[in-house]
Amino acid sequence: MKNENIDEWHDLIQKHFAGIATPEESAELEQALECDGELRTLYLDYANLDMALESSAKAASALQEAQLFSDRPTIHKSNGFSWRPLTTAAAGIMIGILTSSVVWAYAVPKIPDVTRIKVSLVDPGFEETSTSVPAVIPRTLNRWNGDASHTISSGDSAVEPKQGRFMMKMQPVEDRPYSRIEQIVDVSHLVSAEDAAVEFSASFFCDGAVNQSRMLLVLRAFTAGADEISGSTEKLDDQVTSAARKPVLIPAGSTDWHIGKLRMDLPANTKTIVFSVAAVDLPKASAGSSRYIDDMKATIVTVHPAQRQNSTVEKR
Amino acid sequence: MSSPQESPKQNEFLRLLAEHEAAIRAFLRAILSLKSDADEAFQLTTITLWEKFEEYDRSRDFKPWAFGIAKYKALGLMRDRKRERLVFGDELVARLADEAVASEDRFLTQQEALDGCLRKLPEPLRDLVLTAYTNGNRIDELAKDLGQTPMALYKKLHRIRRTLLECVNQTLDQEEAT
Repeated sequence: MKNENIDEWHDLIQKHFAGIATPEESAELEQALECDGELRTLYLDYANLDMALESSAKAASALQEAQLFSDRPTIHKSNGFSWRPLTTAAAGIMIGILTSSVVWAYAVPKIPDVTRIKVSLVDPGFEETSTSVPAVIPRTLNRWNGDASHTISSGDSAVEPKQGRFMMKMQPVEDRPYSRIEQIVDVSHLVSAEDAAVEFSASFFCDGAVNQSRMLLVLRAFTAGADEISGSTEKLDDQVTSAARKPVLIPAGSTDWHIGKLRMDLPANTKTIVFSVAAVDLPKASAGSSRYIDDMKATIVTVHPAQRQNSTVEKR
Repeated sequence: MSSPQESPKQNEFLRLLAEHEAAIRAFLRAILSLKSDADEAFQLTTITLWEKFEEYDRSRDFKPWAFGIAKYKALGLMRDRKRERLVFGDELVARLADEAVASEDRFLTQQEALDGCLRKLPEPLRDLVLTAYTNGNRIDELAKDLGQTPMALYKKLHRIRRTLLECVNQTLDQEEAT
């Protein structure tokens, strides 16, 4: 590997792994790899780095979620990026294998014939929620619960709501690196099929932020009834059937609303979904920076029974 | 679901798979290039490993047996993909596969060094690269959220990955020197 070309090889290998190299570039890389052992080492190093970063991201996500949604009053930040949550990953794969009796199935990629049903979140735009949001505990169905957050009208802020006259202003919580709101919704009448998913979106505005801000969308699905969802978040996580989270990064100095979206497949017979949004590392109110949430939306997406029958399922 | 009597077998399989998952995934990623292909090949490999686990000779090392099946699955997937796009030739793939197997120890030490290198990155860059690698995040959507073009974000991630790789290899060199 000639040193004068080293930058080009780094770029070309990364483009190849990202799937954005042209056929000519991939052919050039292949030709060089065939006769250059050092280049092959670099190529294998990038393959390994890619896999290791994916593992680190999974570990960081799991760690952050555990921290963010713990009800413990004090949470210490950790820098623990371990790439070894592989037992969990392997166990997940095994559960998949064993519960499907070693039948691997996938849908043929074609435009699905689906039904989309809007989930009736109570007050998705915070137009009717009273000024202060009730605390998360005790968990109460069909209303916003949260940590010290409150609604604010357009006249009380320089920020205009995304829609309507009101929006939710997230307030920092003492001894916690996040503030959250959540709503527990009974979806038992909406989900019965195996091929269903939920889509969740919210709009975020960070006013006066001098650093990049992080918001978080979280979905938890339960086959337990809505009235059984209660107690601490740890208890909730013991009951959960399926969960997903997605961070939304908002650049410093942004002056626009940003929409975050999260989709999650639902287990058959899901009865309850908890929709949550968190503002992470909120600065103190005196810092002059505020974060707002507005225009929450949720939809259940179900594949028609006829479509499922027509789908090709391959048994291996 | 399998019967309770099979539990020790499952536990043994899970332990072995967990021990070698990182190496198998890196091996498949090197051969197949695209993450989606490597993920699919890993799933197919895992299923076959489980199906054939009764045949696995316990007196031999699990790794070569697992890599042999992974290679077979990857080559099968590559044959399918050849109709769709350019993939590397069989000879190069075989050579990369052999070198990936031989490099497993190096991969493991690189992965350990990565933890320290991630901590050395400035926090916004660390957040960015980990967010980009979080499952379900698409580069084009992330770029839009950040108010950047996808190509600008790709370039930024290229720089971060290169910085990390150089840091990892420097760490390994220093460890060797001591």
